[in-house]
Amino acid sequence: MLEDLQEVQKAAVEDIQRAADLTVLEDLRVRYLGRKSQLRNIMGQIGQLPADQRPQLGQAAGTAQRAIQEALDARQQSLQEATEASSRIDVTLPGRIPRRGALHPLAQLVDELSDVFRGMGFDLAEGPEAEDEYHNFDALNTPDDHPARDLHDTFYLRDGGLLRTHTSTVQIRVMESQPPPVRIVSLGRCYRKETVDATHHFAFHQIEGLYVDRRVSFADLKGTIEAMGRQLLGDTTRVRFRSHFFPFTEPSVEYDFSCSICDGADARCSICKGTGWIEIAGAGMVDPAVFTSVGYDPEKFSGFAFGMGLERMAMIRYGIDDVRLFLDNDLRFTRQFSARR
Amino acid sequence: MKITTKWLSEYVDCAWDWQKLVERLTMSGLEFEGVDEIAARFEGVVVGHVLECERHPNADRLSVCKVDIGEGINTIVCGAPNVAAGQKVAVALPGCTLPGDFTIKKAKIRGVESLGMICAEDELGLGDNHDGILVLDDGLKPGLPFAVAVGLDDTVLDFEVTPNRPDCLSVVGIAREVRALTGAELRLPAVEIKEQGAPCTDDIALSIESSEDCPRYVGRVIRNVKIAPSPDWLQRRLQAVGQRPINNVVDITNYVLLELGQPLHAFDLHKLADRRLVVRRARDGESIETLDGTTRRLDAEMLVIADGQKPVALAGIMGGANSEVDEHTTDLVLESAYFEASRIRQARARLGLHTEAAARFERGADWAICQRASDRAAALIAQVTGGQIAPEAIDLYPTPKENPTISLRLDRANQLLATSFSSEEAQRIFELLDCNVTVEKGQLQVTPPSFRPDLVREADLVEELGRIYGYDRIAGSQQANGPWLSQLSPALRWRARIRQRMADIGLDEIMSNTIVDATWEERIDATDVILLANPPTEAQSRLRTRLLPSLLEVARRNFNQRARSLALFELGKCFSAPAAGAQLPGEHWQLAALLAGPLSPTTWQGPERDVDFYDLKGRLEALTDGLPLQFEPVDYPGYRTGHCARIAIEEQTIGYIGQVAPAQCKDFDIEPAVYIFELAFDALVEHWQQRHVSFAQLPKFPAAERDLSVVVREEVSHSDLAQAIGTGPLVENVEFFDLYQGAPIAEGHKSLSFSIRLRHPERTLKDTQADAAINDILQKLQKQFGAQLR
Repeated sequence: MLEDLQEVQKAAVEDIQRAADLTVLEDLRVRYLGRKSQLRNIMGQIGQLPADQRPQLGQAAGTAQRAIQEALDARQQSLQEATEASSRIDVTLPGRIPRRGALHPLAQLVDELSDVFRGMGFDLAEGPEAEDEYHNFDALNTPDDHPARDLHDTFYLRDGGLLRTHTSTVQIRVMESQPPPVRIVSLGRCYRKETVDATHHFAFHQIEGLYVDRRVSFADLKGTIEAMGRQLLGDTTRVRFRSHFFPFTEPSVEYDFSCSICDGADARCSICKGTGWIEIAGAGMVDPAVFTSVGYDPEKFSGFAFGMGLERMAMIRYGIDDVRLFLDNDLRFTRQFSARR
Repeated sequence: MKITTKWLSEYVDCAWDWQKLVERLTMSGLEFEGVDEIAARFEGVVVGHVLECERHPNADRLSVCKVDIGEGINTIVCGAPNVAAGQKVAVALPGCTLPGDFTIKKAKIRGVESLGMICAEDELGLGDNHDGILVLDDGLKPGLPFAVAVGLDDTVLDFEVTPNRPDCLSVVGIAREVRALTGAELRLPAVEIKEQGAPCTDDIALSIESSEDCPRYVGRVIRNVKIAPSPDWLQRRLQAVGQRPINNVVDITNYVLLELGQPLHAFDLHKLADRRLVVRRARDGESIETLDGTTRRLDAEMLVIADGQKPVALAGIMGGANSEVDEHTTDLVLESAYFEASRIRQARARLGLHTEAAARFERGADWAICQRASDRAAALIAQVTGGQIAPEAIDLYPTPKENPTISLRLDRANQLLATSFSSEEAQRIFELLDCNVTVEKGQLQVTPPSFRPDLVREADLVEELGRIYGYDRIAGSQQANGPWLSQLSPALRWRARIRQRMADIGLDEIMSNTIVDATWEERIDATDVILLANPPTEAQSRLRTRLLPSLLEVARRNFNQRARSLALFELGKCFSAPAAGAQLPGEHWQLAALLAGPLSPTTWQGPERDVDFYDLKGRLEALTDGLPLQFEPVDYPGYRTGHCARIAIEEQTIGYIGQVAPAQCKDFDIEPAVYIFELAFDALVEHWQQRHVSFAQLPKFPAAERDLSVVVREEVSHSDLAQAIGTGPLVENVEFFDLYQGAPIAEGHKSLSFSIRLRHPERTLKDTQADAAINDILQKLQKQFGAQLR
């Protein structure tokens, strides 16, 4: 019997080690350890043996069972490892992508400018798009018969009011509501009665900035615009200020950023036309008349204001040639900008 | 404002080439708009000397000429009747391109080889004359470029002049700017007039009735003029800057307008009734036919020049046809006046007229130059037309205007500009700008010249300092920056966060028009009508009150572009009628989303299915992140009946969700079913803001899980069942996991399955206790909804 046990163990371990796969191995487990196995049969007989033989055979049976089990375990593990090692998927098949939506390019620019100016300590302010003449014109030193009103073709509402022609209205509303110092930017939609074409739309977006405090100077304005230029178009961006006219600033300037595409090296550059400069927008020191209309003392306070068209900036950055694309919302357009942030 | 470099150089010397000139002027406020190098038009056209001219052997009307072109002698066939030996002519050499894109080639004309073309005026783009070739001055050297020979070696520069700088609407004005930038000397045109005959007052009586509108009026008579085309130099110069020559007198008034910026007008003396001119307001009912041939009705807000009977000119804007200088005119009255800006501006705006004269008066002309401009024009008219200037020009100037004197605190200027001007430096700049300056104790007393109506206040002077000094010389500073990151308002913070969240759950952001078609608003039965008085198009006439139509329009556009499925959102402004007592419309932010088409496009991964209500609702719930939204079936304009819910939080309506009514889709030509929600974003923000979060102890005792499937009638809503279960004993959480209809469930009934988690806060639940709780719940459902255990 002892010999039988040893033979069973030996045969079992050998078979198990030769098992080709997990199915064969399961058959072997049943054959060698199952209820009808020779081992179980022998173990069943041990009880009927004389008491002095039982411990030795019992021990031998236990040893055989353990050895077979260990062999099974070992073989199973090695077979599993082999199976896993040989498993192959086609990693080049396309993944299942949970599609993310794309943020609109103008909204992304709004987010980005908000971050830039919040980082410089500017609060974000807002104002209505349907405005009154006072906040859009009069308070901004543009009385009714002022020639500058010609520059703004305005949409009027039938029952009174107008659609703001610039975000400068927010300057007035903020200054009316709080004493200096004021450090705000405002981003939003404006309207001018323009014929819609590749470079004009009757609805467009602007950022407006305002800083009022004691002893604010033109150098502060320059520094702020320069910082914005570097953030938007890169660290090497330079800014130039050209004298200009706006009724609500004095001195008034227009500012240009150096061309981020060619820096003036390409006479046929589509962005700067070879001048090296890209016209951006207007700025200046707040006109004393504006301070007077909001009840600030122009003798005590000075300030600067600036604006910028967001469509224009986006068009420059991405080389977009048609302003109508922004409000058309063709997804083949809007989805192109999702990698930006 | 167009000038030419040659014209400019008559008044100021400038060492800069035109590129440098326009750059500097652009920096100081005259923005460069464009350049036209006239000489380039005549590239390859030279002066030729016709040495011989003989009849063409094979054609009667052609001549064969031998022409000295400087570097050789060319044979040229010419068809003009007036060509003759000895003439100096303009020769277009082979290879050159004339206006109208006409390229000259070496050609054989009836057997004779011709090297070039002798040009007529029209062929050079200089006029309409095609009667014969252009014959040039005898003294010109053969081979000289044609542009140089006739003084067209010139460059036209165009500048944008801002509304505050009427003085720069003249060549002399721009010369003054160059002087201010360079310090070069300014040479104003010399004026010498020779007066003869009877004094002006013998021929004309002048008066001003409306002196507040017209503070100054200079009139003079010039007799025996001969109206004719202007001499070449004058025509060329006007043409160069884009003006059409008319006749010598009109051209001279235009020339002086461009030179000095002073609008002038010439009347035919013999067309003036009673030989008088009066400056007065128009009378209601009067009308005038202006020089452009239009008859204009006048009113008392408009200023006119009238003769003894009727208006003969719209003051400062345009002359009248009834007193026009024409080829029969012999004697004329020359007007040089100063009209108040606001009067001209109003009249101009009411009449919808834009003229060179009005552009200057409405921005503010120069009252001091009236006499000088009159002299200048009179001298030129006398010189060009042979007319005689009558003595004693009439200068009506009852109350001479004075230039203001403005104090400038130098320390304030330096503080604002971040500069360090000494009073000498500042004084020098103002003197270069023709201001009178005195300095006392850090203050400059500055009296600007009469042609700078924009200089009124200290701030205006500060700008002049910065402008002439150059803003590029002021270094930027970072002192405006605040010391910390600014805080966002809740509204802005939530807007940014939700937009990002929407994109993250797969929706594309759109930004659509706020001005929308009236029909869109009508289709959704909008009660608030916010109309534009002057809409961009007849259809686009209202401000939107909801986003639904905007989203459908974008969907339409994208489906037309062959998009298969759409997932869109917009966070945009909508408008409402003015609140009680308010003047302006209300504005609110709306958040809307749209799903349409297959949920995900078919790929190798498996079949697709179309989106449904619950796809959108799930996104809404993901988005609102735990806010207790209630959904209640309603009918709402734009949505399909029976497929729409009102969304509320604590009974406050937050918005609507549903399938868009098929009729709406049809109006936008959209085929697939479309699902939309619209939310009042401002209200949502308030709920997010009010949400109070407090810590709850983690459970100490295990929970028991039970599933419960019940059969109810179809009309019982899920939320009522779930709410009833949720309020049962020991219930911690309820999850709905299955809906089933069909055999063996009876017709008109449905089975809903819930997974219920039960927990006692203070002890471990025994199975019997959990079973008892489920039993309680079941009885409650039986009682309330007639539910049966499935």
